Amino acid sequence: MKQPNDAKSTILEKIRAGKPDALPRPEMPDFAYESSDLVGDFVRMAESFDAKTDHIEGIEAIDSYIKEHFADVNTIYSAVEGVSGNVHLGWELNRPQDAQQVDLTVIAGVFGVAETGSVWVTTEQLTMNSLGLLAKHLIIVLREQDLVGNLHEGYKRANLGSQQYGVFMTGPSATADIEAVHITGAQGALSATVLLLS
Amino acid sequence: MKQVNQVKNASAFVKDSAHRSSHDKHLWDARMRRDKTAAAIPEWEEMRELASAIKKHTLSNLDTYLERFEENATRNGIHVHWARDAEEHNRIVYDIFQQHGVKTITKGKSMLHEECGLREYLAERGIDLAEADLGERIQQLDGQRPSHIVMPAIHKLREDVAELFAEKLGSDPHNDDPHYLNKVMRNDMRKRFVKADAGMSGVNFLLAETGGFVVCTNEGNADISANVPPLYVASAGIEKMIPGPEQLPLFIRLLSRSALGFAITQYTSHYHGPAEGQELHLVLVDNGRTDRLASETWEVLKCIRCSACFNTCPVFRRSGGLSYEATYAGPIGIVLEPSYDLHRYAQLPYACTHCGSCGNVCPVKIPIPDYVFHWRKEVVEQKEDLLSHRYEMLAGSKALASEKLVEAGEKFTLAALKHTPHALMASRFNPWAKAHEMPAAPEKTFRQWYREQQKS
Ligand code: SF4
Repeated sequence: MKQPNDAKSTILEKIRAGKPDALPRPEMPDFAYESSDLVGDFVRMAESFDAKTDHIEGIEAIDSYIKEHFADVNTIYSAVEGVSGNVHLGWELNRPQDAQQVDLTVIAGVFGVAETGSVWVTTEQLTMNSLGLLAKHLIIVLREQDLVGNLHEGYKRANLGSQQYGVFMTGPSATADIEAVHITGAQGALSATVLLLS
Repeated sequence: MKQVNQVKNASAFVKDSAHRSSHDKHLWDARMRRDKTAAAIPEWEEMRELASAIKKHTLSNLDTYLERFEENATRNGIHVHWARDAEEHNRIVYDIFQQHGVKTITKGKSMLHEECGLREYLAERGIDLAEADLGERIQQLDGQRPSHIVMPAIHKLREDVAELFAEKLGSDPHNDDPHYLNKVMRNDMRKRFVKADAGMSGVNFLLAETGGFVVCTNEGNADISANVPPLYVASAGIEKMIPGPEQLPLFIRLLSRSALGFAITQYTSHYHGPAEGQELHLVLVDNGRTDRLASETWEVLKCIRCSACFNTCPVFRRSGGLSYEATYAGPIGIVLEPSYDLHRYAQLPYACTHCGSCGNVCPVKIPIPDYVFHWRKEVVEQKEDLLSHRYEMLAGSKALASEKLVEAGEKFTLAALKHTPHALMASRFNPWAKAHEMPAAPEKTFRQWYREQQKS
């Protein structure tokens, strides 16, 4: 690289010479989320983004849920203990690109946000990030007690910086780029199901 | 460079009622959804005020925030680069690719890349770059710039896309179902994602305190580009900075609601280092931003590129983004582009009806309407204006100086409104009238009504 530091000092000097007088940093107020039904709000919002939601009794019920609802998937990767998959990290799945062959990925969500219907997921849950991005279908398992109200509460809980990659996933991938027609299944997951554990 | 004639450029679009009315309708729908979602949040106006104050604070301390960001990002394992202008940005990116022997790239949509002409730069050097956002890909294949910063191909109809994909991607020319066209795109991109030597994206927010950055998309294309190839290069304008995670939710809550009227983007993604086995580079770009920071219109740097001002603008909705012949079109474009090249973009500040709507919807409260006046003044002072604009302004200032003339003018306008047939208004002298019906004229002028009220 040619003199990267030169560019840095030029830019910083120009900022110092021309910036407006320093303005104070505003305090962030507590924007409270008023609702008595976080689960209901979350479900409504997630479904508005075309996520499917369902309630399940326990982790052990997920295998049969998959048999029933995803009858034609062949390859399943599970990053959730107690849910069985048939492809594995270090075996069929070595490189990020290998996630392309996965039909269904099952992961745990860290917490959900009622305001937006989003689930927070990081590298820790995904194990390999691409598994949550290239897989055709996605199941995210979320405990109802792990729902927060709005994004302000969500970001407090996300603890940004502690993880290489963290994402608020909201429904499957989508586009409205042709005549604003809403289509699910753009480049990422074709479908996303949130299974709520009570 | 030749001066852009936005009015002339828009005329074909204005005449083409199929394209124009579809464009107008879709953007207006987005605007209406924005109003609905904003109204559902009681603290919306407080949030806009706060977002503006946070941006002003960050910009007025940008040097220290940038240094803090670099220190933290470097600690996270991100290679941070600095670029003074577009050329330097492109060279840095190309150098990285050369060192890694990169031949194919998939890329998330980035207005900064458009600004730098990165696509053309890399194409000239034999690198195969595929835009991975559907709208942006359509524009790339068609050899056009994006016409809208969030919906790049919104000026096109489905049959245009069907024809384009048939020619470029070998799909069925008779099938213009958007679902089918989306599948054609998906299948083509899927092959590219797993073969790409590198991924690229823009950045929505830089977080100084944690040394990370945030990318917001709906399609998942940026996330795949960032996480699948062994090399990821992101580019960010230096104005994308905010202090840290405490302020971030405010901007995330405002961004997508302002853009398309949805609560959030499907993928709101946060990067604080390279994925395992990967290398991550981030290029911080000035390209005129420090000049703008030192100027009277420095608050343009608060922009979070949501597109709310585009969607609400009556001129933009009816003329389409390509007519501006600029990276940034719409209200923010007409106050941004003249600062790059006053001569070339001297007519853009006139692509405005003074309705003031852009200023009302902007989530970070940029005083766009004031800036339009600023640039018109600048254009006149630098003698870059058109004679027709100058006479209009002269007549206006004389008239406004005399109350009698103003009153006479009001009465004349009222009479004209009642008696002007649409055909006359829609003459070739008045391109804006082409999609307009005349409003119903009130019975009296405001002044007449006011006097009567005073008497009674
Ligand atoms: S100027 Fe305001 S409304 Fe327009 S794109 Fe930027 S942030 Fe959005």
